[in-house]
Amino acid sequence: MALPAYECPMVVVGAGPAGLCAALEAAEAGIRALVMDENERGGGQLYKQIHRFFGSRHHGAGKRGFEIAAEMVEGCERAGVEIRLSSAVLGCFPGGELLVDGPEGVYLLRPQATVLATGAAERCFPFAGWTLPGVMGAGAAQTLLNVHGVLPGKRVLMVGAGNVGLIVAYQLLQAGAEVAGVVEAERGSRGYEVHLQRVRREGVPVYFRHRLLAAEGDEGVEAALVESVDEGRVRRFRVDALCLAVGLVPQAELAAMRGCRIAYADELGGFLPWHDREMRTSVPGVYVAGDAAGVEEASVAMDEGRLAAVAAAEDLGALDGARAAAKRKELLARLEGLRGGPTASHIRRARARLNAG
Amino acid sequence: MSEILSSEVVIVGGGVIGAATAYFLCKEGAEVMVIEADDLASGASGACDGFVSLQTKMPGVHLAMALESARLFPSLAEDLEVNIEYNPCGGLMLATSQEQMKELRARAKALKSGGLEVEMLSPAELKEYLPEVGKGIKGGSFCPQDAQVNPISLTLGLAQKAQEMGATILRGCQVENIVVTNNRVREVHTTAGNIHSRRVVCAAGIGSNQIGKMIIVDVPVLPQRGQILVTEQRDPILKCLVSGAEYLGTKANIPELLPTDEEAAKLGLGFTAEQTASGNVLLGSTREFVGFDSNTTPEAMNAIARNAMRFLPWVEDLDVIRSFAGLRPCSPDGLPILGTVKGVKGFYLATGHSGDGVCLAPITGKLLSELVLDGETSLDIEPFSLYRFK
Amino acid sequence: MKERKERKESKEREEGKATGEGGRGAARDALQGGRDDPWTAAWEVSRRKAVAVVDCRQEIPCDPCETACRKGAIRVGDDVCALPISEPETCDGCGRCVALCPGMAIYLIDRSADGGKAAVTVPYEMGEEPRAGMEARVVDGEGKELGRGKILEVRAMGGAAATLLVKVEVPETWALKVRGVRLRQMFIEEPEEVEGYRGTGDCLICRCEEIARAEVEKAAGSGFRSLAALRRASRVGLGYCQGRFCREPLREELARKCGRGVEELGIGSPRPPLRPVKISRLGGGDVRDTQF
Repeated sequence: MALPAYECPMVVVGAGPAGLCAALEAAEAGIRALVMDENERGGGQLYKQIHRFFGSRHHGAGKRGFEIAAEMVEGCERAGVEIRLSSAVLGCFPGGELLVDGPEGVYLLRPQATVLATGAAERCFPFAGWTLPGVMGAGAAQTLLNVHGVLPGKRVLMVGAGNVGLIVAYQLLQAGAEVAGVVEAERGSRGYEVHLQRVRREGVPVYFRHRLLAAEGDEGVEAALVESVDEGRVRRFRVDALCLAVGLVPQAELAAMRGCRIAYADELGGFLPWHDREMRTSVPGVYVAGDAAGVEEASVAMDEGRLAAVAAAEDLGALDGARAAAKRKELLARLEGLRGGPTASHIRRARARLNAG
Repeated sequence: MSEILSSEVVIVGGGVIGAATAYFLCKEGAEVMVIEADDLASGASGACDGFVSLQTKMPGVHLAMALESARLFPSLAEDLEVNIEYNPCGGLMLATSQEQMKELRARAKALKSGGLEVEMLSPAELKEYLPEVGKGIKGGSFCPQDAQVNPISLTLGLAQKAQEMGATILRGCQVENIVVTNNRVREVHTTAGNIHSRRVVCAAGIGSNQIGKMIIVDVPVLPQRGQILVTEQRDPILKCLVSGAEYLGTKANIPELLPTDEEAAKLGLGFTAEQTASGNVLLGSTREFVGFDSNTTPEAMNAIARNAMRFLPWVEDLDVIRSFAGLRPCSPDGLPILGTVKGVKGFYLATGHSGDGVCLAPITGKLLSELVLDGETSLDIEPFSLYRFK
Repeated sequence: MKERKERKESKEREEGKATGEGGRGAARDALQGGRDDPWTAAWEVSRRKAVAVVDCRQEIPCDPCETACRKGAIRVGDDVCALPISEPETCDGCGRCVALCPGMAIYLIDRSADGGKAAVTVPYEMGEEPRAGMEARVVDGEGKELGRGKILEVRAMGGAAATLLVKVEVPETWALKVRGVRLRQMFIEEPEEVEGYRGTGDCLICRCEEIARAEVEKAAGSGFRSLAALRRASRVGLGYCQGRFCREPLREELARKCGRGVEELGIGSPRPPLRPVKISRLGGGDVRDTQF
């Protein structure tokens, strides 16, 4: 009568870019990974991205996010990777078991290797009126727009001018919403210039050094109060939706439950499972990749997923040392390239700190 | 060491026992310092249910003590500024076999003669208390004196009140050594400095063994894990505490009431259910000796959920939102360890409550206060002496 | 160019690399033949034919333009963050790079027609349907409207989910300024001034348990040392979502109150289940009549 339990060589938690690439790389080494994802579709956040992606040819750059997701899912199918959708991993126990709630019921998996590619969650901040209908995370707005084809509002204010905020602002415009502005507390955007320019080009004002004070409304958002940080001037934007894009937080809970050492890096989103350059956590047999290992780009997540799988395959004896080293060298060089630009200096700093201990 | 600290009494442990002892000592005007390695209610007191259960006590001194403690709760609820969510709701213990009914009946008789009100109920009579019970339920016993309390609020409330009366509470402060000279406690060395004190109360729960070692006394307290599932909040659906007879069986080691299933026996599984003031239903629990491991396990989560549906089928629809495990400080016979130790004057034990800490906290605090300040107690605590163990 | 060099040097300083002749910047300078910007050469060549202008100014990890070009007229090289270098002479004006650039930062200019006119081709990804013959608002990089221009041609390029390439006729003097076309005009209402704003009062921090910020501040100020202790004391984050929404702000609040860094507070001890799960599922289906 106990919970059904299944042994397997490798479980990947999360079917986003990191998880799917980990599974693909594992398949190349002859390991059939089982990929678990709580969503109904594979591809993680890529699935709802309609913009073309940065990165290189190794990452499907130039294609739209959902196209990259579809290619990876197909690749997994060809490689015999099983992706179990609508399957939430409820817990990861010190003994190594994963507790899964899926269409088959609730059961345990006992993998020899676990790759945690659980992604990141949207950061939230409380302000007066934040519980009003119409206030939502930018990611949630994106799901409404691009998955369900529903406009979050007719006139929207975006809070946060990082890449997520700028991309979603653009997508709101694409779907026919008006964007009353993008509000950003800093002096400039943390996002890519091109994203900022695309939004500006459509006539959307970007308010730097401004912060959101409150959302007003009775049954839903009717207005947002915004203050200019330097002048203290408060203005009311009449909008019916408010999107928050104020950062992402690595989802490190499963790693913490498993007993992995947790590190902290503000530049990477906060708490995350400590890992070495090869994506091994402090617990043997547990690897981490993608935003769960520190919030970065999808292209980075893909290569991290591959790195994690190389480490796992090597540890499982499926990949000999020389082959693993060769693959790793290539992937690390690629990652170094992706993190090579001036916009990634904070990432390099945080990674150096993490690697130092 | 920036300053030299001193206190008339030092209490080691900021759980419900330490907080209650501080409260009662402060009421008598004593100068008290509570040392807590982590934070208030960070041990078993913050990871348990709120059962103030009298019908699970052993007839005799154990029950007598529990009855005394129960009498103190209403006045505490009055006196403390924190709402401790005290609710004299009564408690139901359900039997799944005629053998269990027989045993419960015999116990009810013994408990009644010890001064407790207990009533045996047929399956039909259970309807008055519960909307629906499992088909295998053969009846149960109801104790109107059983009650419920929020153990965290109780601990925080007691500590806060003690603080108001002058107690000092040091959190994140670990005891490093207890200095004994001429057979008397003199100093407590801590990570926050040395504290001069001639009286030290050990209310350290599962850490008591370690504290005892500092004065070369073996305090036989072992951590026993109890796992609990927390469900989403619902409007009131449970009018009283509910438990299964096996809960008592595993608690008091009564052969007739032990679970028959091998896995359940291994986990020490016994059903408990309580709906808190906030509407969550707490479902328990297990009794496992696994050292200091306070993780929850998938086996126990599954077994608790399954067992809960066996007693109260309608819980199947509730969402579990959290699980937690507490480590009960268990003594070899399941009764608390209270009193002095031989050869070390000024050292007092208030530990080993074995899962009865919340229920027995008020009386323990009161008795310890009497013992520390007067050297004698209003209730004979000799049966709880450390020296009852061979 | 100067600015780019400075950025490069500052990055190299940060990484402890020697700034020297062999750096990435030097290689690009050689490739670009010492030209100061991507426009000068393109401007000249556009007199004869349509040519791509790559307006990519930030070294971000991105190189689809290189693979998009079948003529090899755009080079990024091994360093994926390097700025692309285009060779206008080699460019055949096919527009693939315009369609595939994720930053929508490439466009075509064509000044081969006479009469002081230029044809500029920009990528278009908005919901409206541009058609040849329509008038469009022509905007610069800041979104400022330069004026109107006639759409000469609309093409779809770049895979199944194509990007539209809109060729618009503009005065020649705008050729280097045009960055986009707009078919609709958003009505951007000016926000109204709020005089004498006095604050909004308290707000909820934990929506499940309906706990206000002031309550949390009070609890955080009374000496609790960990998020777990704060949760126990105030029930904050103990509701249905188990703190998924409020965990981060709570940690920040507590850190501020006790004068410690967020990292010192730690992640706590998360316990399963990570998502709510029904008792019936956790217990393994409908087993109401089974016995142990």
